Amino acid sequence: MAKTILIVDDSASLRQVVKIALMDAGYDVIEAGNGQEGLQKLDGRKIHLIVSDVNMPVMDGITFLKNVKQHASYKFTPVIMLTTETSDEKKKAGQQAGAKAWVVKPFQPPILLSAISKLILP
Amino acid sequence: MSSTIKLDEECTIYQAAQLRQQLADALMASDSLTVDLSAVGEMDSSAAQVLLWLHSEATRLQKTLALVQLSAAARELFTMLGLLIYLPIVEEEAGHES
Amino acid sequence: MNLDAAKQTFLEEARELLEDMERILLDVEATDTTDEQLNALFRAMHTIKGSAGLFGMDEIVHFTHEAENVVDLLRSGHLALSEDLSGLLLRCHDHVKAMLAVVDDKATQQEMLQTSLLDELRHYAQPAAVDEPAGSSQASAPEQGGLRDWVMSLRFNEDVLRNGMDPSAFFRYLRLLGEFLVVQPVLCRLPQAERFDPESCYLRFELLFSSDASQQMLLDVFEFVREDSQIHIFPVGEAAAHWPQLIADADEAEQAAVRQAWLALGLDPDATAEPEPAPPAKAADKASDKASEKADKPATGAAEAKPPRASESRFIKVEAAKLDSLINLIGELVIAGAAANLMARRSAQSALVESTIAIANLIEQIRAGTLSMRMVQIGEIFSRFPRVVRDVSKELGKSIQLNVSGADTELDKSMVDKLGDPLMHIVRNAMDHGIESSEARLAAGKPAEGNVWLNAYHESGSVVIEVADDGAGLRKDKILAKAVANGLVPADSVLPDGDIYKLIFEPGFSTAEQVTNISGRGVGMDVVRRSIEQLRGTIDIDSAVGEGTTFRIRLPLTLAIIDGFLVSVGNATFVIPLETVIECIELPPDALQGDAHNCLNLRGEVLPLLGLNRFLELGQPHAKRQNVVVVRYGDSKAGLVVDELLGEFQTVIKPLGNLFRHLRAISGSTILGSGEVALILDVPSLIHFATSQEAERFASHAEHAQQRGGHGNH
Repeated sequence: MAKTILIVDDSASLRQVVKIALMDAGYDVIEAGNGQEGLQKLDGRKIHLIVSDVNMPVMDGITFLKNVKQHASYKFTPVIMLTTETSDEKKKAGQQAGAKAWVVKPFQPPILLSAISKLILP
Repeated sequence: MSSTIKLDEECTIYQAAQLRQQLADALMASDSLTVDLSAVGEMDSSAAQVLLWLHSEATRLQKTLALVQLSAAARELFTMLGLLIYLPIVEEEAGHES
Repeated sequence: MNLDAAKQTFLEEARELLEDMERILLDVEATDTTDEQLNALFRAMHTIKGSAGLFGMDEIVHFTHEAENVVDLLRSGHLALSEDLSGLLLRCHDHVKAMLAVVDDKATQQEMLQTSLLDELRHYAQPAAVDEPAGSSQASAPEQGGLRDWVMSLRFNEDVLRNGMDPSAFFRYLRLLGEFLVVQPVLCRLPQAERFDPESCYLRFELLFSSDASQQMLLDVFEFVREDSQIHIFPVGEAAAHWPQLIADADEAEQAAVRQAWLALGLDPDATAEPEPAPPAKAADKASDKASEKADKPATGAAEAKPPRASESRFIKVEAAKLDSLINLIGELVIAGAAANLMARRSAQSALVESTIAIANLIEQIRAGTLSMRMVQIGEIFSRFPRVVRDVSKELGKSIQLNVSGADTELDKSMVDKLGDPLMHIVRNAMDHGIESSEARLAAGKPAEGNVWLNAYHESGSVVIEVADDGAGLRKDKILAKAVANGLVPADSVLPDGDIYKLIFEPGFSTAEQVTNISGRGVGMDVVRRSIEQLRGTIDIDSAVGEGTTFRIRLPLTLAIIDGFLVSVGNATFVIPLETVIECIELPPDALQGDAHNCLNLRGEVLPLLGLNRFLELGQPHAKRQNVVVVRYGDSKAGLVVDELLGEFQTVIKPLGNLFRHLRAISGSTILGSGEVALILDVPSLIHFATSQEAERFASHAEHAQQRGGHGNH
């Protein structure tokens, strides 16, 4: 069974491109437009990895991550945060919240794919 | 007195705490414990680590532990991590055919 | 779903983000910046950069990266949003927009990077000196170092499992890059009994690995755990030299264990600097039982992933034609529903009547909902004006403040599209001709800064849009003189103020002594009036010399369905748009003196009356009792004299055929539930008719008293 990845980003086009790349690689993908939607998508289904943007409306990535870490069924799920190299403070906040994996925006799909593959293979 | 425990399909970090408790209890309750790994479909380092710990506990408590019927997933993990010789794996003749 | 579609999504998304950006930049000039606004500014650049990178639009990435740096400093409070900076960001906004417009033209995009904007941005970003260029340097091709043997010392932090990083996952990934020769686990850290926490990681590994990947590529495999763990990777020959560094953080027990592991790998930790490339221990170790490894390759990764779920977003874009045909159908449904209700009433079965009423309620809700889908906030047009006012006032060297209110007023989308240009023209006109120069204003005792107001609101079923300025006001004498000179009106005309002002809408009329390039472009105010009239709207002007001018545009809310008020005259049925109806009264017996129009004293107010029977030449015998429907449009009121009041009725406007287009008193037709056709009365023109007839009569009476003269030229 293919591994499932949740991608949380407010840019629909980014989600689309990432989704195409990940599905081509053999992952299942579900999408959410912000942290809150992301939490709603965690409705008991098995999710092997989460990719989340940091700066999003409604609920940002750090808050989302903190919530994920509280969730018994998802607290050990690897999370890759998408960030810019300009936001060191955010990165610190993210690390405190338990985000260890970061991919710098902008990225080409293969970069994200290889980051994901290090944590889970399809 | 001996007993056998069959591990579930999923043995990952999410089950690690429970797995450790279950195996520790079983080891306490018998002199000889057999762990059946035939159903294991998904296994990660944490589960391998629990088995390594269980092995050292068994040695410390002078009890017998045997890991039997390794599923493909379990065998692959142990092989990859170089753990085969560090675990009390017992290859059974009968299990060969399955 | 394909990449092209994704690209379209990106362009759409970028457009919306840029609109937000512009709106905020123009808005914050007036007020303090909120965190939310700065965040949204950041997000605009950030998101465009992120997505552009995905599509390989490196130039856009490059540019937005620089802008993002500056906005990030704003967000973190290291920079303040000065007027200069917001101007710069606005120009960046323009630049990104322009780059997006030529997204497929690499060469032009490259050229567009040769812009001084980048220097200006860097000037602001300097304090932070963020030097890492955007881009994906990591994507560089692997250095071809040839096949080498590597020593890896993987001493993971205890938290890796809790962080979702499974050491075995890294092993799996490494297998894609090369081959494990020997893996030697180091288990000395595994605690006994209760001290063992199954969620901590105690496993560490020393291993030999054969790969043609570079050292950096191999280290990158552990990029997410390197910070907290001790990961060392060296070519076999150099390993011993690094032993002291490698073991520095380990306690004695671990040092011993690692040393033991190295010996098992065939390495000598003490052979300092002496390259002793130990032939990798025969891979015959049980640990690399290849046969089983191969057999156990995960059977996942099959390409048959499930089809993607439709991407979920808050908005769906719908073709306008589909919505139109839906509205049309709902119109038919309204009629059919009314017919059913009529039949039910006739049958006198109360249960049937009940259920038709329930259906009617639902239809009403569907109707309102569907119509509201077509409604958009007028803010969509208003939002471009801050920019225009800002730019034009700079161009004119005037200081002008724009004040917007009622931006959330809704109106039909099709009208919004057609309103932009006329409004733009009026606003430019107000700035150019309305507002005086600062000197002139100061001389007149007014503040140097001029004001332009944009305001929208709903009033009795219409949308009213006002463009006002506190400028010099319209000079009636000048307008009249000009109109006379142009032969638009006779030399001795006496016109009401409103009509004089309206002369500026005549083709070829312009009072400005100096034609500037702002509004004197040959397109006159006559075009404005025509555009508004095409939308079934009207435009009025109020002005006071020295105080300013107000243009008031009045438009119908929607073009499709109206709530009608049904009346009958003789055996003909008419629909009056309900929103224009103020009240209904019984006609006093002596009010109509055989004339088609007359007046009624309505609580002290003179109300012009219009007898529909006479006016429409229906030739019906008078009913014994007649009623007056008091209607209003704008500031004018009139009473329509009808026979019977039949009540409210929801109705779909069916446009009249071309043959009847010229009819001024009738705006459309509709089909009643009974199948009968009813005409919809055009209240604005009826009121206009009633009042002007009344005024004319009044004028002619007055003239009559003085001298015999021609009629007003109205």
